[in-house]
Amino acid sequence: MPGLAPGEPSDDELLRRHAAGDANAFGLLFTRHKDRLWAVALRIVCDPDDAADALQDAMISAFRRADAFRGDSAVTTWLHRIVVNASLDLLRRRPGRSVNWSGDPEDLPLPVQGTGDASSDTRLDVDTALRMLPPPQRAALILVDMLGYPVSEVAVILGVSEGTVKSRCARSRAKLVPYLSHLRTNLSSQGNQPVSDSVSFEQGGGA
Amino acid sequence: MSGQWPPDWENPDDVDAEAGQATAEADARQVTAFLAALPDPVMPEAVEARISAVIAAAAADRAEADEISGARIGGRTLGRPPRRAKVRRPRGRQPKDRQRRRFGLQAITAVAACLVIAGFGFLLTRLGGSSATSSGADIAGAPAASSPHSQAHAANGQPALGRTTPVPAEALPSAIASASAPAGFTVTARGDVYQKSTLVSQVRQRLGEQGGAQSFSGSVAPSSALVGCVLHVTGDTDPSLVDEATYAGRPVYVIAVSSRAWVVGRGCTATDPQLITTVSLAGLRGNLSVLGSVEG
Repeated sequence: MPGLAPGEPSDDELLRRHAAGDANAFGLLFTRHKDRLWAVALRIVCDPDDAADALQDAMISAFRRADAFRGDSAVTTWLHRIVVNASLDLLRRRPGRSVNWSGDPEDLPLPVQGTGDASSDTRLDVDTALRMLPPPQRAALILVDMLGYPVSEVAVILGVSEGTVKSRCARSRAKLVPYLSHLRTNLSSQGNQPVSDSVSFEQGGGA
Repeated sequence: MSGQWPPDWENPDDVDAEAGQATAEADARQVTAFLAALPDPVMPEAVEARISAVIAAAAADRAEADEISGARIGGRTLGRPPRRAKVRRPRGRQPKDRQRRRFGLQAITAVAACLVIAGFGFLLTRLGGSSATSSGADIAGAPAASSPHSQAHAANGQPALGRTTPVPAEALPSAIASASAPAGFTVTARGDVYQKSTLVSQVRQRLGEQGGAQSFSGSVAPSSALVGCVLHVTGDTDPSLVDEATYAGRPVYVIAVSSRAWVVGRGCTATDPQLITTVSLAGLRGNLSVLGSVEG
């Protein structure tokens, strides 16, 4: 695994230690990947409280199922898969989070009026846009376009074929085109950069 | 390429479609670029602390369970058997005859178990025991066969104590010895509404009202699934509070011992605790450290 200091245990080693009874190994694994896993959960469920719940469920599940990890994929891929499933499960249990949208920007629900802070408003706008997508499409788009995972790895994470991942991403992008174009136009007219999406720590996370 | 064809070969519809396709692809690329440029969010410290605490609690539970399962009494090992090396089976479907054989074995085992239970019930009826008028279901729920603790262990894939290994109760560790006792708690349902921001104080208040009593007036006996759930999350410790309530608008059970509280879904069982959040109640005198809530 790239980025490890000399002597630092790999993810596989930490998971093996955890399965063998090491009480600290899983905590280290979580600490190592927490931000990435948080980003996945937060982007999929679009709510910091829900993301925290989903990630907690996922980590407990991973903690208990570590014995079943067979090493067919990278540990990170396995962890991401569990987080994605927990996030989608949470959305299933708490329906009403997604928004049906005709595709016409005029039909979009207005984003919550922010505090005037452009970055927070943009974050809310992106949240709103992502909520338009059915969760499976949203997950594919988030993993590929926002988090930069290769399509092949996303296919493993989502448990679908690469073709399905590409198809979901393409449909998601097509749905978002009108809205994000609208967003860019608005931000440009305000003299803001359209890509600002800084984390709102007061609200427990970003987008 | 189309530009090399004779003009009368050109189909205007194709040209339009091609242009439309190119525009759509360019738009999609813009969406990708826009999304890729958004910075990744950073996990808030409160969330990190909460999940780290949950992981630490799970690790402590596991260590405790391993200790209990390793206890040897009278030369026999109680609890979970030692781990065996996993035999990896080849992927894909198993041969149908093996599946059929396995199904047959399971069916025979189930029928044999039913016969044993029915015979035992008949014997009890004949002996005029306390369960003389019990139905088969009641007999199956007799304490020796399915006490809360043994159910919890069975649900965890551990052998149920007292079924095949009769061991004097006084010889067992306390957590195991209570396997043959009824649930040591009741469930209250006052319709309390717990909130994330006040969970710790609300639980403290309930514990204070209870003042160490094991039950409130109006409380009811828990279901066996709930007993398994509660003993699982508390690590086989009888709770001070099990409250059927709502938390952040969701129907839940709030379970508490003196040092910790858990919020679990109503479908909580020993194998699927549906843990929503957990908070530390350590330092009840006012020095509370909230480990398990986002709101800190």
